[in-house]
Amino acid sequence: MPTGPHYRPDSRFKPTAVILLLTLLMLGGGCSRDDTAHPIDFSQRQEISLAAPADDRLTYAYLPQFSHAVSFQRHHRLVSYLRENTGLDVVQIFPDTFDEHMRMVGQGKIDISFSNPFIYVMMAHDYCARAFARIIERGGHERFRGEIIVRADNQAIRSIADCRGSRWLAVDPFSAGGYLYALGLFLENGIFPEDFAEIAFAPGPGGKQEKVILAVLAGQYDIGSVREGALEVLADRIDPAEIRVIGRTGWYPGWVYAARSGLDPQITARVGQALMALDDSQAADREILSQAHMTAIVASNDEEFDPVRTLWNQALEKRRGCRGDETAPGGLRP
Amino acid sequence: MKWPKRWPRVARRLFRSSIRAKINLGIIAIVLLSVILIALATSQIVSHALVSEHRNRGIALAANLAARSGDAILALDFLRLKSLISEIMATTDDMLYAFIQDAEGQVLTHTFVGGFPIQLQAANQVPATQRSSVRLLTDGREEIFDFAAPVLIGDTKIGQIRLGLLRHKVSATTREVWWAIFAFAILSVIISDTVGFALARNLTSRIRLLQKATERMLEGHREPAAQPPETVPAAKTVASGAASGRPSLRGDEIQQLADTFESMTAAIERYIDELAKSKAVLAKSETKYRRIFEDSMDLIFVADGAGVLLDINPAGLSLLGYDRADDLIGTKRIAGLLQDRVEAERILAEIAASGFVRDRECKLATRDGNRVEILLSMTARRRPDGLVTEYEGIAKDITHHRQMLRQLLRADRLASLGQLSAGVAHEINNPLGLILGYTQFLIRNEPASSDKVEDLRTIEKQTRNCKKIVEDLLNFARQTGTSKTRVNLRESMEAVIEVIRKQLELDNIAIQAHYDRELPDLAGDAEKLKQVFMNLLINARQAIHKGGRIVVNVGLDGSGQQALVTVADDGPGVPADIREKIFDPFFTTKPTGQGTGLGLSVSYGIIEDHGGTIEVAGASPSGAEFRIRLPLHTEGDAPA
Repeated sequence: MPTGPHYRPDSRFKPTAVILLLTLLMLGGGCSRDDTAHPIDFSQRQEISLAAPADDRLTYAYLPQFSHAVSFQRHHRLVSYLRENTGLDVVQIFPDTFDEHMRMVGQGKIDISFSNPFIYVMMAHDYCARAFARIIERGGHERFRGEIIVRADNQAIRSIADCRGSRWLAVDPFSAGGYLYALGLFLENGIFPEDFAEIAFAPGPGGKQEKVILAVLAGQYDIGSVREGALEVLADRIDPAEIRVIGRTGWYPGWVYAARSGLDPQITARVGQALMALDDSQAADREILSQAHMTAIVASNDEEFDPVRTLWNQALEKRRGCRGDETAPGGLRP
Repeated sequence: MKWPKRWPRVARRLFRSSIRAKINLGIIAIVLLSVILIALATSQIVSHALVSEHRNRGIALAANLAARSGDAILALDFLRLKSLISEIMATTDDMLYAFIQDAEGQVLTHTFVGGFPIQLQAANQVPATQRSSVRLLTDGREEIFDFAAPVLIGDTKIGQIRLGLLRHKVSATTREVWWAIFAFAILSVIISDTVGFALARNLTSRIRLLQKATERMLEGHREPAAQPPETVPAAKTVASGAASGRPSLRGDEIQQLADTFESMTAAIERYIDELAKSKAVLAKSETKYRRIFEDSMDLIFVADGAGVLLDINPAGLSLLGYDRADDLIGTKRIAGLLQDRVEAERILAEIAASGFVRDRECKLATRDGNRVEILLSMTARRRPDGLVTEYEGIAKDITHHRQMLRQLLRADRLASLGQLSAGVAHEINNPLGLILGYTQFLIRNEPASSDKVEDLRTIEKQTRNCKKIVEDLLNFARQTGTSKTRVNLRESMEAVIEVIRKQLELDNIAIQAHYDRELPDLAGDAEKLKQVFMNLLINARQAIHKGGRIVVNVGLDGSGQQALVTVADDGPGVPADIREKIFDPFFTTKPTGQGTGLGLSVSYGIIEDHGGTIEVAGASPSGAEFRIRLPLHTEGDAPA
């Protein structure tokens, strides 16, 4: 610090320049970038066009009782297996509804159908589809059945008889385990469709078994009908203890592989052989079968599904007894 | 203070600026720096957060779409796929595009109008094992975050979702944050500078008060200093601080400084008063001792440890024959002033041993070569380690005293000799008278041709010589009668010179006589005084022997109370060792038979009889000078 008589504070110093400099630094600092952008020429455009399906491809469809994702997840490896072992261009396609599935079989859009026995019976009836194999489900069941479920805290409905007057949500009018078998059970117990306060079917494409369970759990419907094993699909998303099974239907033939009418029998035979060659004792095959929720695929024919055909007819007759104007099987077709 | 030239001019100017300016600048700098640092950190954080949020949002949107589009892809439900991407486009305004690809990368549906940009198709691919992939793309104008999310069924990828989100929204948000911070910075600077200005003004005004008070103190004003304005009442603080003698601890540092300053001022005033008193006492003491030093008739000196003179008083200068102290101080040593070096060494050794000498008789050598007898007392000052740092001493001139003592001794001796001589002379005078009478009687009775007459005349002559000696002895012993009349010394001297001039001319001796015409007559025996003058002139002629000069002065001495007669010659002078004896009877340097040794003794007796003094001074080569002082007025005489 200068001292003495000659010292005078210099008041001419102006901080303007410093402030401006710092301000510029501040503004400049806010413009920093952290990435390098990859240039894309958005002006080079063309219309997209998907490749048309090959004429010689073999379409494989799984009845959409679950979502497409589940269908894909369960069967895409099996489809790959078929592709590899038959030399055929097998592709999995995804109809949205049971009806569409049947219709596509009838239209020849689905060559190999994997469906429940009820659908098969109708497809055989309507479109001359023919069964050539059936599956043995996990647990070794060659047959399967349906279940009547209620919410665990529902004290009013504890038996099949209690279902009278209740609101019933079924999977689909064409569902075997999710509707037809349950309807047969109710008919056996003297409960007719008109005895229910409401019979409804799960909305939308796919995922119908899950939707029934969730709707009952939500209290939207009093009872639900699903095929046995459907609860396991939701086991990781709901607490199984919250659902109570109040009745089970009788055993009926399991799911069936059918070839559309007009499919080259040799192709059917190649596919059937490949499917039936899957051996659960082989690790690779077991993985494919397990993912498709099967234990084995065995040869079958149309006669094996007569019990289902019989049940359908019974239901149709009961329906006619009440409503003679109904023509569609089960009276459930739109 | 000079600042290094290499400093920037701004820095030099900054350091020369006032405290107020510095405080303001400091506050601005601190606030700006803080804001800049905060802004930089915040911008980074915000930018990262925004980008991260942007990415996460894009990833979430893509993943959500992927989760919802699986069934539609599998079913190749283009309507649903289109609905899905349209829905997601509607959820946000910064999405540039959305499209869905199948497992082979083929575009199933998209939101572009006018065709699909083909380069975009493979620009971002995500494997099935990865949840998402984000890539920054640009069309040259804007940057786009491209998000790819796989559509998985289990572990199998059946397609992928691609979304394009514009980045400019992130940048715009970041810029908004920046502008907010910038506005905050400006506001902070304004507020802090306002506050700082007020604080600095308060601070500097109080410092300036203190500065003014200090300047007034330096100018010699001793009233209480002005207190800076403060919440603490100044008068109370000052009063308490001043009264207690220690500063009040209330208030801030400036207030405490002011209090301390007050206390310091009071303390300084007390010290100044005490100092003034001490100074007065010291000055008085200094004056007293300086006066003693300056006015002392004795030589007083101070010398350093090496014996070199540091100070000497005027009496000492006079005694040593110097006019200026500078000729001695710093140049002369004490030992060098003493005439006898051996004696000097002995004295210094004694001081070294005992620390002092007291009343040691020794001789000083004056500047003109004379010696002065002194009585020396000297002390040495020592440091704790024994080293002598200073000598102090006092020397008393005892030359005159010693001379008086010697004269007394000599007078006493001469008086004894006079009484003895007078007794002998009285006893011899009468028989000599008889011898002379009978001799003259026999001469008269003897025929002129008788042989006895010659013998008798020889007896008569020698008897007369003896009688002359006896008369001289009686004159020396003042036993002869003195008839005092009014004597004109000039006339007496002129008469004597006239008698002896012829003889002087024969010896080729010039004589010069100077007379003071103002010299009055005095009472005395003119004949005896002539005899004294004659003795002195004859002595001078004999001392010169052949060729020389005699200078006679007759006048008044310095005091004007005595007549002074000097007779000086340019002969060999009187050796110092015989000066004490030359007035003794029968003392002579002449060969036996050529002098009686009574001339100067008789002269001494006559001058003593007149109440005066006679002394001899000088030595070769200046010759001898006899000085006779005679009182103008003797006891009982009226002034002439």
